[in-house]
Amino acid sequence: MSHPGMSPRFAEAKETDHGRYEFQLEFPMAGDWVILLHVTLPDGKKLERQFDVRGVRPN
Amino acid sequence: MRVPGLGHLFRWRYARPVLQAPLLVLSIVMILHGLFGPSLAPKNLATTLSWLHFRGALVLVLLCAGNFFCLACPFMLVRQWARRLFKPRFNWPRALRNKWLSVGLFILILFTYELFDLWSSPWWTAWLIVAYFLSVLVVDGFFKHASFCKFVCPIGQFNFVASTLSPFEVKVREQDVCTRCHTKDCIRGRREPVSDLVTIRGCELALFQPSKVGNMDCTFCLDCVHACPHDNIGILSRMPASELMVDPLRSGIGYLSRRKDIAALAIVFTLGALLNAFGMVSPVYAVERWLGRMLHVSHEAPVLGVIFAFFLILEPILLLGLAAWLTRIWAGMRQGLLPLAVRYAYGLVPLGFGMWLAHYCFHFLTGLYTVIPVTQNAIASLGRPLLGEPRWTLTGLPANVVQVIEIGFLLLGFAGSLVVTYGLAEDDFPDRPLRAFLPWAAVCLILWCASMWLMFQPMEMRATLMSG
Repeated sequence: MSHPGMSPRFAEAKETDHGRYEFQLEFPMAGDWVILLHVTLPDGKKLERQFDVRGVRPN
Repeated sequence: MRVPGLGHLFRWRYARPVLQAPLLVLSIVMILHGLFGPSLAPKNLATTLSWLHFRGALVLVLLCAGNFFCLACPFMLVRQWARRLFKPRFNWPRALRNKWLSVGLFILILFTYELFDLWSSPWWTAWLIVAYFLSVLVVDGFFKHASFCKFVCPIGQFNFVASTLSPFEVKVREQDVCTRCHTKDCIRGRREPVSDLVTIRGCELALFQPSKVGNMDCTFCLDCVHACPHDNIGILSRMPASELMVDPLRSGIGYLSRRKDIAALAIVFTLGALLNAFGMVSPVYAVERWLGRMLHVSHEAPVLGVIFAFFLILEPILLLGLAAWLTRIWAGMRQGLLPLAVRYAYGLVPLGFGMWLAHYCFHFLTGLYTVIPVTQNAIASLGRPLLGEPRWTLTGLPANVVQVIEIGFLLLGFAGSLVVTYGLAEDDFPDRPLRAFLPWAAVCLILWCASMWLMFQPMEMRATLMSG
Protein backbone atom coordinates (compact mmCIF):
# COMPACT_ATOMS: atom_id res chain seq x y z
CA MET A 1 0.00 0.00 0.00
CA SER A 2 2.80 2.40 -0.67
CA HIS A 3 2.27 5.72 -2.36
CA PRO A 4 5.19 6.97 -4.46
CA GLY A 5 7.18 9.70 -2.79
CA MET A 6 5.36 9.52 0.52
CA SER A 7 7.44 10.19 3.60
CA PRO A 8 10.40 7.90 3.07
CA ARG A 9 12.53 7.33 6.15
CA PHE A 10 16.19 6.37 6.08
CA ALA A 11 18.50 4.71 8.54
CA GLU A 12 21.94 3.16 8.41
CA ALA A 13 22.34 -0.21 10.12
CA LYS A 14 25.30 -0.68 12.48
CA GLU A 15 26.96 -3.99 13.30
CA THR A 16 26.32 -4.71 16.97
CA ASP A 17 27.58 -8.27 17.02
CA HIS A 18 29.28 -10.58 14.56
CA GLY A 19 26.88 -10.66 11.56
CA ARG A 20 24.17 -8.85 13.48
CA TYR A 21 23.06 -5.40 12.34
CA GLU A 22 20.60 -3.08 14.04
CA PHE A 23 18.89 0.16 13.12
CA GLN A 24 16.13 2.31 14.52
CA LEU A 25 13.31 3.75 12.50
CA GLU A 26 10.32 5.88 13.30
CA PHE A 27 7.08 5.29 11.41
CA PRO A 28 5.66 8.81 11.12
CA MET A 29 2.25 7.70 9.94
CA ALA A 30 -0.10 4.77 10.20
CA GLY A 31 -0.57 2.24 7.46
CA ASP A 32 1.34 -0.44 5.59
CA TRP A 33 5.06 0.19 5.32
CA VAL A 34 7.74 -1.39 3.19
CA ILE A 35 11.33 -1.76 4.39
CA LEU A 36 13.96 -1.89 1.66
CA LEU A 37 17.39 -3.08 2.67
CA HIS A 38 20.33 -2.10 0.50
CA VAL A 39 23.31 -4.23 1.51
CA THR A 40 26.88 -4.00 0.26
CA LEU A 41 28.70 -7.32 0.71
CA PRO A 42 32.42 -7.55 1.55
CA ASP A 43 33.22 -8.33 -2.08
CA GLY A 44 31.46 -5.15 -3.20
CA LYS A 45 28.39 -6.89 -4.55
CA LYS A 46 25.09 -5.19 -3.80
CA LEU A 47 22.06 -6.90 -2.43
CA GLU A 48 18.51 -5.67 -2.00
CA ARG A 49 15.79 -7.17 0.15
CA GLN A 50 12.23 -6.05 0.79
CA PHE A 51 10.06 -6.60 3.89
CA ASP A 52 6.46 -5.60 4.43
CA VAL A 53 5.39 -4.14 7.77
CA ARG A 54 1.62 -4.10 7.60
CA GLY A 55 -0.98 -2.40 9.75
CA VAL A 56 1.12 0.18 11.60
CA ARG A 57 -1.34 1.94 13.92
CA PRO A 58 -1.26 5.57 15.09
CA ASN A 59 -0.05 6.27 18.66
CA MET B 1 1.21 34.50 -28.89
CA ARG B 2 3.10 37.77 -29.16
CA VAL B 3 5.76 36.59 -26.72
CA PRO B 4 9.01 36.13 -28.68
CA GLY B 5 9.88 32.46 -29.07
CA LEU B 6 6.69 31.11 -27.50
CA GLY B 7 4.52 32.97 -29.98
CA HIS B 8 6.49 31.55 -32.89
CA LEU B 9 6.29 28.07 -31.40
CA PHE B 10 2.51 28.14 -30.94
CA ARG B 11 1.91 29.70 -34.37
CA TRP B 12 3.97 26.95 -35.97
CA ARG B 13 1.68 24.34 -37.50
CA TYR B 14 3.62 21.45 -36.00
CA ALA B 15 3.82 22.89 -32.50
CA ARG B 16 1.37 20.34 -31.12
CA PRO B 17 3.09 17.18 -32.38
CA VAL B 18 6.43 18.56 -31.19
CA LEU B 19 5.00 19.00 -27.69
CA GLN B 20 3.15 15.67 -27.82
CA ALA B 21 6.11 13.55 -28.95
CA PRO B 22 8.13 13.75 -25.68
CA LEU B 23 5.03 12.89 -23.66
CA LEU B 24 4.32 9.94 -25.96
CA VAL B 25 7.85 8.63 -25.41
CA LEU B 26 7.42 9.15 -21.67
CA SER B 27 4.09 7.28 -21.75
CA ILE B 28 5.73 4.32 -23.51
CA VAL B 29 8.55 4.30 -20.94
CA MET B 30 5.96 4.39 -18.13
CA ILE B 31 4.00 1.51 -19.65
CA LEU B 32 7.14 -0.62 -20.08
CA HIS B 33 8.46 0.15 -16.61
CA GLY B 34 5.02 -0.41 -15.09
CA LEU B 35 4.72 -3.83 -16.70
CA PHE B 36 8.31 -5.04 -16.43
CA GLY B 37 9.94 -2.83 -13.77
CA PRO B 38 9.93 -3.04 -9.96
CA SER B 39 6.57 -3.92 -8.39
CA LEU B 40 7.09 -1.44 -5.55
CA ALA B 41 5.30 1.79 -6.51
CA PRO B 42 7.90 4.28 -5.16
CA LYS B 43 10.57 2.60 -7.30
CA ASN B 44 8.56 2.53 -10.50
CA LEU B 45 8.33 5.27 -13.13
CA ALA B 46 4.70 4.44 -14.00
CA THR B 47 3.40 5.13 -10.50
CA THR B 48 5.88 7.88 -9.57
CA LEU B 49 5.30 9.90 -12.73
CA SER B 50 1.53 9.26 -12.92
CA TRP B 51 0.48 9.81 -9.32
CA LEU B 52 3.10 12.32 -8.25
CA HIS B 53 4.55 14.38 -11.03
CA PHE B 54 1.88 14.32 -13.73
CA ARG B 55 -0.97 15.21 -11.37
CA GLY B 56 1.03 17.89 -9.55
CA ALA B 57 2.38 19.51 -12.71
CA LEU B 58 -1.10 19.32 -14.30
CA VAL B 59 -2.88 21.32 -11.59
CA LEU B 60 -0.04 23.86 -11.32
CA VAL B 61 0.00 24.48 -15.08
CA LEU B 62 -3.81 24.82 -15.04
CA LEU B 63 -3.54 27.33 -12.20
CA CYS B 64 -0.69 29.37 -13.65
CA ALA B 65 -1.36 29.14 -17.39
CA GLY B 66 -4.13 27.05 -18.93
CA ASN B 67 -5.09 23.73 -20.46
CA PHE B 68 -1.64 23.09 -21.93
CA PHE B 69 -1.64 19.41 -20.95
CA CYS B 70 -4.51 18.75 -23.38
CA LEU B 71 -2.44 20.61 -25.99
CA ALA B 72 0.44 18.17 -25.39
CA CYS B 73 -1.80 15.10 -24.96
CA PRO B 74 0.09 12.05 -26.30
CA PHE B 75 -3.13 10.10 -26.86
CA MET B 76 -4.12 12.56 -29.57
CA LEU B 77 -0.81 12.10 -31.38
CA VAL B 78 -1.49 8.36 -31.69
CA ARG B 79 -5.02 9.16 -32.81
CA GLN B 80 -3.70 11.41 -35.56
CA TRP B 81 -1.46 8.64 -36.84
CA ALA B 82 -4.31 6.13 -36.69
CA ARG B 83 -6.61 8.46 -38.60
CA ARG B 84 -4.24 8.36 -41.55
CA LEU B 85 -5.15 4.68 -41.84
CA PHE B 86 -8.76 4.66 -40.67
CA LYS B 87 -11.11 7.50 -41.43
CA PRO B 88 -13.94 7.72 -38.90
CA ARG B 89 -17.35 7.42 -40.54
CA PHE B 90 -19.87 8.08 -37.81
CA ASN B 91 -21.05 11.10 -35.90
CA TRP B 92 -21.09 10.80 -32.11
CA PRO B 93 -24.60 9.60 -31.06
CA ARG B 94 -26.91 12.51 -30.37
CA ALA B 95 -28.06 11.04 -27.04
CA LEU B 96 -24.47 11.06 -25.79
CA ARG B 97 -23.63 14.61 -26.82
CA ASN B 98 -23.37 15.78 -23.24
CA LYS B 99 -21.16 15.25 -20.23
CA TRP B 100 -23.10 12.48 -18.50
CA LEU B 101 -20.91 9.66 -19.86
CA SER B 102 -17.71 11.48 -18.94
CA VAL B 103 -19.09 12.35 -15.48
CA GLY B 104 -19.73 8.62 -14.99
CA LEU B 105 -16.21 7.76 -16.18
CA PHE B 106 -14.73 10.43 -13.92
CA ILE B 107 -16.50 8.85 -10.94
CA LEU B 108 -15.45 5.38 -12.12
CA ILE B 109 -11.79 6.42 -12.19
CA LEU B 110 -12.05 7.91 -8.69
CA PHE B 111 -13.75 4.71 -7.50
CA THR B 112 -11.26 2.28 -9.05
CA TYR B 113 -8.40 4.43 -7.76
CA GLU B 114 -9.62 3.85 -4.20
CA LEU B 115 -10.82 0.27 -4.64
CA PHE B 116 -7.73 -1.12 -6.35
CA ASP B 117 -5.20 1.25 -4.74
CA LEU B 118 -3.98 2.25 -8.18
CA TRP B 119 -1.27 4.47 -6.69
CA SER B 120 0.45 1.40 -5.27
CA SER B 121 0.35 -0.76 -8.39
CA PRO B 122 2.75 -0.08 -11.29
CA TRP B 123 1.12 -2.97 -13.17
CA TRP B 124 -2.41 -1.55 -13.01
CA THR B 125 -1.15 1.98 -13.63
CA ALA B 126 0.53 0.79 -16.82
CA TRP B 127 -2.64 -0.97 -17.94
CA LEU B 128 -4.66 2.17 -17.20
CA ILE B 129 -2.42 4.11 -19.61
CA VAL B 130 -2.75 1.33 -22.21
CA ALA B 131 -6.54 1.31 -21.74
CA TYR B 132 -6.56 5.05 -22.31
CA PHE B 133 -4.67 4.71 -25.61
CA LEU B 134 -7.02 1.93 -26.76
CA SER B 135 -10.13 3.91 -25.79
CA VAL B 136 -8.94 6.90 -27.79
CA LEU B 137 -8.25 4.71 -30.82
CA VAL B 138 -11.63 2.96 -30.62
CA VAL B 139 -13.75 6.08 -29.99
CA ASP B 140 -12.00 8.39 -32.44
CA GLY B 141 -11.50 5.52 -34.88
CA PHE B 142 -15.25 5.20 -35.29
CA PHE B 143 -16.47 8.70 -34.57
CA LYS B 144 -15.63 11.94 -36.32
CA HIS B 145 -14.15 15.11 -34.83
CA ALA B 146 -12.79 15.14 -31.28
CA SER B 147 -15.51 12.93 -29.80
CA PHE B 148 -13.20 11.39 -27.22
CA CYS B 149 -11.98 14.75 -25.91
CA LYS B 150 -15.39 16.38 -25.78
CA PHE B 151 -17.62 13.56 -24.59
CA VAL B 152 -15.50 10.78 -23.06
CA CYS B 153 -12.11 11.73 -21.61
CA PRO B 154 -12.31 12.07 -17.81
CA ILE B 155 -8.91 13.79 -17.61
CA GLY B 156 -10.08 16.21 -20.27
CA GLN B 157 -13.24 17.03 -18.32
CA PHE B 158 -11.13 17.65 -15.22
CA ASN B 159 -8.96 20.00 -17.28
CA PHE B 160 -11.95 21.78 -18.82
CA VAL B 161 -13.48 22.54 -15.42
CA ALA B 162 -10.17 23.51 -13.80
CA SER B 163 -9.16 25.70 -16.75
CA THR B 164 -12.17 27.93 -16.12
CA LEU B 165 -9.88 29.28 -13.38
CA SER B 166 -6.82 29.64 -15.61
CA PRO B 167 -5.40 33.04 -16.47
CA PHE B 168 -5.13 32.29 -20.20
CA GLU B 169 -7.71 31.50 -22.86
CA VAL B 170 -7.70 30.83 -26.60
CA LYS B 171 -9.83 33.63 -28.01
CA VAL B 172 -10.20 36.21 -30.72
CA ARG B 173 -8.27 39.44 -30.54
CA GLU B 174 -10.73 41.73 -32.32
CA GLN B 175 -14.40 40.83 -32.84
CA ASP B 176 -14.62 43.24 -35.79
CA VAL B 177 -12.19 41.12 -37.78
CA CYS B 178 -14.43 38.07 -37.23
CA THR B 179 -17.53 40.05 -38.21
CA ARG B 180 -15.92 40.88 -41.54
CA CYS B 181 -14.64 37.32 -42.06
CA HIS B 182 -16.66 35.26 -44.56
CA THR B 183 -14.71 32.02 -44.62
CA LYS B 184 -15.02 31.09 -40.90
CA ASP B 185 -11.93 28.90 -41.20
CA CYS B 186 -11.59 28.70 -37.42
CA ILE B 187 -14.56 26.31 -37.36
CA ARG B 188 -14.70 25.00 -40.94
CA GLY B 189 -10.99 24.56 -41.42
CA ARG B 190 -8.82 26.06 -44.11
CA ARG B 191 -9.51 24.53 -47.51
CA GLU B 192 -7.82 24.17 -50.86
CA PRO B 193 -9.48 26.65 -53.24
CA VAL B 194 -10.05 24.14 -56.04
CA SER B 195 -10.45 20.74 -54.42
CA ASP B 196 -12.12 22.12 -51.25
CA LEU B 197 -10.08 19.65 -49.22
CA VAL B 198 -9.33 20.69 -45.64
CA THR B 199 -5.62 21.47 -45.28
CA ILE B 200 -5.75 22.92 -41.76
CA ARG B 201 -8.46 21.67 -39.42
CA GLY B 202 -11.00 23.96 -37.79
CA CYS B 203 -12.14 23.39 -34.22
CA GLU B 204 -13.05 19.72 -33.73
CA LEU B 205 -14.87 20.50 -30.50
CA ALA B 206 -17.45 22.71 -32.21
CA LEU B 207 -16.28 25.94 -30.60
CA PHE B 208 -16.83 28.85 -32.99
CA GLN B 209 -14.27 31.41 -31.88
CA PRO B 210 -16.31 34.62 -32.28
CA SER B 211 -18.95 33.26 -29.89
CA LYS B 212 -16.71 31.06 -27.77
CA VAL B 213 -16.73 32.04 -24.09
CA GLY B 214 -14.14 30.77 -21.69
CA ASN B 215 -12.10 27.58 -21.55
CA MET B 216 -14.85 24.97 -21.17
CA ASP B 217 -14.35 22.28 -23.84
CA CYS B 218 -11.21 23.96 -25.21
CA THR B 219 -8.21 21.63 -25.52
CA PHE B 220 -5.83 24.43 -26.54
CA CYS B 221 -5.12 22.35 -29.67
CA LEU B 222 -4.51 25.62 -31.57
CA ASP B 223 -6.27 24.36 -34.72
CA CYS B 224 -8.29 27.59 -34.79
CA VAL B 225 -5.12 29.66 -34.38
CA HIS B 226 -3.52 27.96 -37.37
CA ALA B 227 -6.69 28.02 -39.47
CA CYS B 228 -7.53 31.71 -38.98
CA PRO B 229 -6.37 33.55 -42.13
CA HIS B 230 -6.31 36.89 -40.27
CA ASP B 231 -4.06 35.85 -37.38
CA ASN B 232 -6.88 37.05 -35.13
CA ILE B 233 -6.85 34.23 -32.58
CA GLY B 234 -4.34 33.92 -29.79
CA ILE B 235 -3.70 32.70 -26.28
CA LEU B 236 -4.74 35.78 -24.36
CA SER B 237 -4.79 36.66 -20.68
CA ARG B 238 -8.04 37.14 -18.80
CA MET B 239 -9.40 37.24 -15.26
CA PRO B 240 -9.46 33.68 -13.83
CA ALA B 241 -12.98 32.42 -13.02
CA SER B 242 -14.59 35.37 -14.79
CA GLU B 243 -16.32 32.98 -17.18
CA LEU B 244 -18.13 31.35 -14.23
CA MET B 245 -19.76 34.63 -13.25
CA VAL B 246 -21.48 35.25 -16.58
CA ASP B 247 -24.01 33.23 -18.48
CA PRO B 248 -24.01 34.17 -22.15
CA LEU B 249 -24.82 31.80 -24.99
CA ARG B 250 -21.58 29.87 -25.49
CA SER B 251 -20.58 28.30 -28.76
CA GLY B 252 -20.58 24.50 -28.56
CA ILE B 253 -22.05 24.59 -25.06
CA GLY B 254 -25.14 26.76 -24.86
CA TYR B 255 -26.05 28.40 -21.58
CA LEU B 256 -24.14 27.02 -18.58
CA SER B 257 -27.18 27.63 -16.38
CA ARG B 258 -29.18 25.17 -18.54
CA ARG B 259 -26.54 22.46 -18.67
CA LYS B 260 -27.36 20.05 -15.84
CA ASP B 261 -24.63 17.71 -17.07
CA ILE B 262 -21.89 20.37 -16.83
CA ALA B 263 -23.22 21.43 -13.41
CA ALA B 264 -23.02 17.77 -12.34
CA LEU B 265 -19.44 17.70 -13.63
CA ALA B 266 -18.65 20.81 -11.56
CA ILE B 267 -20.18 19.16 -8.47
CA VAL B 268 -18.28 15.89 -8.98
CA PHE B 269 -15.12 17.93 -9.60
CA THR B 270 -15.60 19.79 -6.31
CA LEU B 271 -16.86 17.04 -4.01
CA GLY B 272 -14.65 14.47 -5.73
CA ALA B 273 -11.68 16.55 -4.55
CA LEU B 274 -12.78 16.11 -0.94
CA LEU B 275 -13.61 12.46 -1.49
CA ASN B 276 -10.23 11.74 -3.08
CA ALA B 277 -8.46 13.34 -0.11
CA PHE B 278 -10.76 11.60 2.38
CA GLY B 279 -9.64 8.27 0.93
CA MET B 280 -6.12 8.74 2.28
CA VAL B 281 -6.70 9.83 5.88
CA SER B 282 -7.16 7.72 8.99
CA PRO B 283 -10.89 8.41 9.58
CA VAL B 284 -11.84 6.70 6.31
CA TYR B 285 -10.82 3.34 7.77
CA ALA B 286 -12.94 3.86 10.87
CA VAL B 287 -15.87 4.81 8.62
CA GLU B 288 -15.27 1.77 6.38
CA ARG B 289 -15.15 -0.60 9.37
CA TRP B 290 -18.33 0.91 10.81
CA LEU B 291 -20.14 0.72 7.47
CA GLY B 292 -18.94 -2.86 6.98
CA ARG B 293 -20.47 -3.84 10.31
CA MET B 294 -23.72 -1.99 9.54
CA LEU B 295 -24.06 -3.55 6.09
CA HIS B 296 -22.74 -6.96 7.17
CA VAL B 297 -20.22 -6.98 4.34
CA SER B 298 -16.51 -7.62 4.37
CA HIS B 299 -15.70 -6.56 0.81
CA GLU B 300 -14.56 -2.98 0.25
CA ALA B 301 -16.55 -2.31 -2.94
CA PRO B 302 -20.05 -1.94 -1.43
CA VAL B 303 -18.69 0.07 1.50
CA LEU B 304 -16.83 2.35 -0.87
CA GLY B 305 -20.00 2.58 -2.96
CA VAL B 306 -21.91 3.91 0.04
CA ILE B 307 -19.18 6.47 0.79
CA PHE B 308 -19.20 7.60 -2.84
CA ALA B 309 -23.01 7.83 -2.85
CA PHE B 310 -22.87 9.97 0.29
CA PHE B 311 -20.22 12.33 -1.07
CA LEU B 312 -21.42 12.61 -4.66
CA ILE B 313 -25.21 12.19 -4.40
CA LEU B 314 -26.59 12.74 -0.90
CA GLU B 315 -24.24 15.56 0.09
CA PRO B 316 -24.89 17.74 -3.00
CA ILE B 317 -28.64 17.09 -2.82
CA LEU B 318 -28.72 18.18 0.82
CA LEU B 319 -26.29 21.10 0.62
CA LEU B 320 -27.25 22.54 -2.75
CA GLY B 321 -30.93 21.74 -2.29
CA LEU B 322 -31.05 23.54 1.03
CA ALA B 323 -29.09 26.52 -0.31
CA ALA B 324 -31.39 26.73 -3.35
CA TRP B 325 -34.47 26.55 -1.11
CA LEU B 326 -33.13 29.32 1.16
CA THR B 327 -32.28 31.45 -1.89
CA ARG B 328 -35.85 31.08 -3.10
CA ILE B 329 -37.29 32.09 0.24
CA TRP B 330 -34.93 34.94 1.13
CA ALA B 331 -34.57 36.44 -2.32
CA GLY B 332 -38.19 35.82 -3.33
CA MET B 333 -37.28 33.78 -6.37
CA ARG B 334 -39.84 31.85 -8.38
CA GLN B 335 -37.23 29.77 -10.09
CA GLY B 336 -37.23 26.04 -9.38
CA LEU B 337 -34.74 24.49 -6.98
CA LEU B 338 -32.91 22.55 -9.70
CA PRO B 339 -32.23 25.53 -12.01
CA LEU B 340 -30.98 27.50 -9.01
CA ALA B 341 -28.71 24.66 -7.91
CA VAL B 342 -27.40 24.28 -11.47
CA ARG B 343 -26.64 27.99 -11.76
CA TYR B 344 -24.82 28.28 -8.45
CA ALA B 345 -23.03 24.91 -8.66
CA TYR B 346 -20.35 26.61 -10.77
CA GLY B 347 -19.52 28.78 -7.78
CA LEU B 348 -18.09 25.72 -6.04
CA VAL B 349 -15.47 25.07 -8.72
CA PRO B 350 -12.73 27.32 -7.19
CA LEU B 351 -13.14 25.50 -3.85
CA GLY B 352 -12.80 22.15 -5.55
CA PHE B 353 -9.77 23.29 -7.50
CA GLY B 354 -8.20 24.60 -4.28
CA MET B 355 -8.59 21.14 -2.78
CA TRP B 356 -7.17 19.35 -5.83
CA LEU B 357 -4.24 21.79 -5.78
CA ALA B 358 -3.62 21.26 -2.07
CA HIS B 359 -3.81 17.47 -2.36
CA TYR B 360 -1.84 16.94 -5.53
CA CYS B 361 0.79 19.57 -4.69
CA PHE B 362 1.35 17.88 -1.33
CA HIS B 363 2.38 14.67 -3.08
CA PHE B 364 4.15 16.49 -5.89
CA LEU B 365 6.22 18.81 -3.70
CA THR B 366 7.03 16.39 -0.88
CA GLY B 367 8.13 13.80 -3.45
CA LEU B 368 9.48 16.25 -6.03
CA TYR B 369 12.97 14.80 -6.42
CA THR B 370 12.01 11.13 -6.13
CA VAL B 371 11.85 10.90 -9.90
CA ILE B 372 15.66 11.22 -9.92
CA PRO B 373 16.53 8.01 -8.00
CA VAL B 374 13.65 6.16 -9.67
CA THR B 375 15.05 7.11 -13.10
CA GLN B 376 18.60 6.28 -11.99
CA ASN B 377 17.37 2.90 -10.79
CA ALA B 378 15.45 2.24 -14.01
CA ILE B 379 18.53 2.97 -16.13
CA ALA B 380 20.82 1.01 -13.79
CA SER B 381 18.49 -1.99 -14.10
CA LEU B 382 19.24 -2.05 -17.83
CA GLY B 383 22.82 -2.95 -16.92
CA ARG B 384 24.52 0.42 -17.26
CA PRO B 385 24.12 2.97 -14.45
CA LEU B 386 24.59 5.92 -16.81
CA LEU B 387 23.11 8.36 -14.29
CA GLY B 388 24.93 6.84 -11.34
CA GLU B 389 23.67 4.76 -8.44
CA PRO B 390 20.15 5.69 -7.24
CA ARG B 391 20.20 8.38 -4.58
CA TRP B 392 17.19 7.24 -2.61
CA THR B 393 17.69 9.98 -0.02
CA LEU B 394 16.44 12.55 -2.56
CA THR B 395 12.83 13.24 -1.61
CA GLY B 396 11.27 16.71 -1.81
CA LEU B 397 10.22 19.77 0.16
CA PRO B 398 9.58 19.36 3.91
CA ALA B 399 5.96 18.54 4.76
CA ASN B 400 5.61 21.53 7.11
CA VAL B 401 6.58 23.92 4.31
CA VAL B 402 4.19 22.25 1.89
CA GLN B 403 1.38 22.42 4.44
CA VAL B 404 1.55 26.23 4.38
CA ILE B 405 1.22 26.12 0.58
CA GLU B 406 -1.75 23.75 0.93
CA ILE B 407 -3.54 26.12 3.28
CA GLY B 408 -2.84 28.93 0.82
CA PHE B 409 -4.49 26.98 -2.00
CA LEU B 410 -7.53 26.20 0.16
CA LEU B 411 -7.90 29.85 1.14
CA LEU B 412 -7.51 30.91 -2.49
CA GLY B 413 -10.20 28.43 -3.53
CA PHE B 414 -12.55 29.58 -0.78
CA ALA B 415 -12.07 33.25 -1.72
CA GLY B 416 -12.61 32.39 -5.39
CA SER B 417 -15.86 30.57 -4.65
CA LEU B 418 -17.14 33.49 -2.58
CA VAL B 419 -16.32 35.94 -5.38
CA VAL B 420 -18.02 33.78 -8.03
CA THR B 421 -21.17 33.12 -5.98
CA TYR B 422 -21.42 36.82 -5.07
CA GLY B 423 -21.04 37.69 -8.75
CA LEU B 424 -23.87 35.32 -9.64
CA ALA B 425 -26.04 36.65 -6.81
CA GLU B 426 -25.38 40.24 -7.86
CA ASP B 427 -26.35 39.37 -11.42
CA ASP B 428 -29.56 37.67 -10.30
CA PHE B 429 -30.55 40.17 -7.61
CA PRO B 430 -28.85 43.54 -8.18
CA ASP B 431 -30.86 45.15 -5.35
CA ARG B 432 -30.32 42.51 -2.66
CA PRO B 433 -27.47 40.23 -3.66
CA LEU B 434 -26.70 39.27 -0.06
CA ARG B 435 -29.97 37.36 0.26
CA ALA B 436 -29.00 35.05 -2.57
CA PHE B 437 -25.31 35.06 -1.71
CA LEU B 438 -25.53 34.02 1.96
CA PRO B 439 -26.89 30.47 1.51
CA TRP B 440 -24.19 29.69 -1.07
CA ALA B 441 -21.52 31.36 1.04
CA ALA B 442 -22.60 29.02 3.85
CA VAL B 443 -22.20 26.01 1.53
CA CYS B 444 -18.73 27.27 0.56
CA LEU B 445 -17.84 27.74 4.23
CA ILE B 446 -18.98 24.22 5.14
CA LEU B 447 -16.97 22.69 2.30
CA TRP B 448 -13.93 24.82 3.11
CA CYS B 449 -14.05 23.76 6.77
CA ALA B 450 -14.32 20.13 5.63
CA SER B 451 -11.27 20.67 3.38
CA MET B 452 -9.25 22.20 6.21
CA TRP B 453 -10.26 19.38 8.55
CA LEU B 454 -9.17 16.83 5.96
CA MET B 455 -5.81 18.53 5.50
CA PHE B 456 -5.01 18.18 9.19
CA GLN B 457 -6.03 14.55 9.51
CA PRO B 458 -3.28 11.96 9.96
CA MET B 459 -2.63 10.13 6.74
CA GLU B 460 -2.81 6.39 6.64
CA MET B 461 -2.04 3.40 4.43
CA ARG B 462 0.07 5.33 1.99
CA ALA B 463 3.65 5.44 2.98
CA THR B 464 6.94 4.06 1.93
CA LEU B 465 10.16 3.53 3.72
CA MET B 466 13.57 3.04 2.31
CA SER B 467 16.86 2.56 4.02
CA GLY B 468 19.73 4.57 2.60
